[in-house]
Amino acid sequence: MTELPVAQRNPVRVERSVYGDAAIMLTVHAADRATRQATAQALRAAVLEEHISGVRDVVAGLESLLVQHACLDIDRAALDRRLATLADRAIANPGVHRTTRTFVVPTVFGGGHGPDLAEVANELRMTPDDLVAAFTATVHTVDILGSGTAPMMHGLDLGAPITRCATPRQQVPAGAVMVAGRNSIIGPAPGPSGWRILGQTPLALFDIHRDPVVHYAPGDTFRFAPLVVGRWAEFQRCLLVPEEQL
Amino acid sequence: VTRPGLVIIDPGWLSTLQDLGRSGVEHLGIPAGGAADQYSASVGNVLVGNPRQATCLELTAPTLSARATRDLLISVTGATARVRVNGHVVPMWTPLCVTAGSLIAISEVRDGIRVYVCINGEIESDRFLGSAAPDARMGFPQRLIPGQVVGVDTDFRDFTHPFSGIPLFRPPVDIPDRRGSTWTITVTDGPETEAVTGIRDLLESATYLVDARSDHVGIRLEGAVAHPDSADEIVSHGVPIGAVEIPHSDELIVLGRARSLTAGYPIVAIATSASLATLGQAGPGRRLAIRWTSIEEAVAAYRAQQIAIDAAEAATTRLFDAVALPRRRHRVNAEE
Repeated sequence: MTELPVAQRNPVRVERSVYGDAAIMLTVHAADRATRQATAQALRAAVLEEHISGVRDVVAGLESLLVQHACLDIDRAALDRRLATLADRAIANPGVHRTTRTFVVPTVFGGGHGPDLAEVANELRMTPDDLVAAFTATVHTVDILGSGTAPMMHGLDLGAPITRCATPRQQVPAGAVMVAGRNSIIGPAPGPSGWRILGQTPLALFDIHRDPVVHYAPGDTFRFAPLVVGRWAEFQRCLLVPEEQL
Repeated sequence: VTRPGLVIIDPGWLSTLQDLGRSGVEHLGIPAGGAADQYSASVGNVLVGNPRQATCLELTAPTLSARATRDLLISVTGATARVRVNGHVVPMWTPLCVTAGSLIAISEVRDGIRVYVCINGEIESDRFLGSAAPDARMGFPQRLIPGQVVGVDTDFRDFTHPFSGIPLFRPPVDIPDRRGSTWTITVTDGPETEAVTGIRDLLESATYLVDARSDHVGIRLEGAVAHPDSADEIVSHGVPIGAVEIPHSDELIVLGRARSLTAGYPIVAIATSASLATLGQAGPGRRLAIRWTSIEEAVAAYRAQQIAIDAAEAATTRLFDAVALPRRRHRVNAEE
């Protein structure tokens, strides 16, 4: 039996769909999740770098990109063709193509700072110490910036996906280091969340008075370093900057 | 040092500095934000000779009292309210000359919940990513408090009507008619419209009641809902302003400008750009009817709104230039 060419065995396709009168959604279809996510990342960068006139904002999903455009005085067909070209480029060259940076996040694990650590460890049939060791040994790669600039990351492999809270918390403090499924995230600002909290960092992830507001972007990597609670004040209100700048 | 302008005496339930919001920021996970009723904020600024994205005051379910500490040229737009200057009732949707020391009082709001106060010149404000619009989540609340001085950089001086003392001229303005208890909003298809059997007929046949848990993040609607036929999980993705989501509970959520940017709930419809101003005025207890429309009709309706703003701007420009009132041009670094 002849083997099909790679492109036919594993076709990657970007679907473009109308999303109301001022947006087009680009959704990546591929057999495996890694390809979908890498293509979506390339797509995000391609559309942002293109600075297309009439495009106001884009929102990245893990496997998609929402392109929001002006409602008036825009040639939707021309925009659609341009996005199709960018999609082809992303399919041909998935992933992140820039020099990425690394960030180290001092984190107090467990106790009041990580109220779900013991329970999550128990679910995974590990000790809390083993869970912290596994978490801090992992290189976490940023996939997208979620609500409030939250870096949503992959890389964590603890055997089984981690369940979410049965009832989401109404107010999670800023700096919460959280996990759900096979993803990790830091909540830069206080807010509601259903993710499980393993720890908390005293660092500020963003500064609204600076440009850029955040230093990290998709493709950058995070590592977490255990911090004893007694050293919290040393890091409090300091801004998270790349390791290269330390 | 803050310039003179306005001193806030009573900011009411919630008053903030506001503008039309940010653009080019949502890839950072920061929502566009900005005035819930962009039509009223835009027209209000146009009426005082400002670019439409100039900083203004947004009052929610408002009463407001403030004292002018210099001569000001202001306009009040949005939901219908009783506006008084030194006790005299003055019209909305028109330029008003307010002399230094005057007391401005806004009360008795009906047919909507948000009122905009725009002032000729530039209202002094901190900015976050180029905009004065609040983003409470990011620690930029922009909330006005009693005693706060709102500085205004303006070239306007003492221009009053020789007889009445109250201005002046009324540029033609298309004032939205929001009388009546049920408002109609138009929607186009969403990605999951086809996945929920009967949702088209259901949304059009029901009326929906705006719940108290509604703000710039989104409006919750009580009323008939249906859920997708299959329980396939939707991978979390970007959600546009105006998306009509059906969460796991039996309600609808229409996303606002300060929404969380990604979600995995079924989106059964998307409110048209032309309907967003009306949604921005819909407060608790308001009834909404939903009508389906096409993209082409949605764009035409939005174009009609923008033409109305353009017309008000053109008329105001001619009037201001004729009597040598100061106008602000677009800032060099302004968006658009």
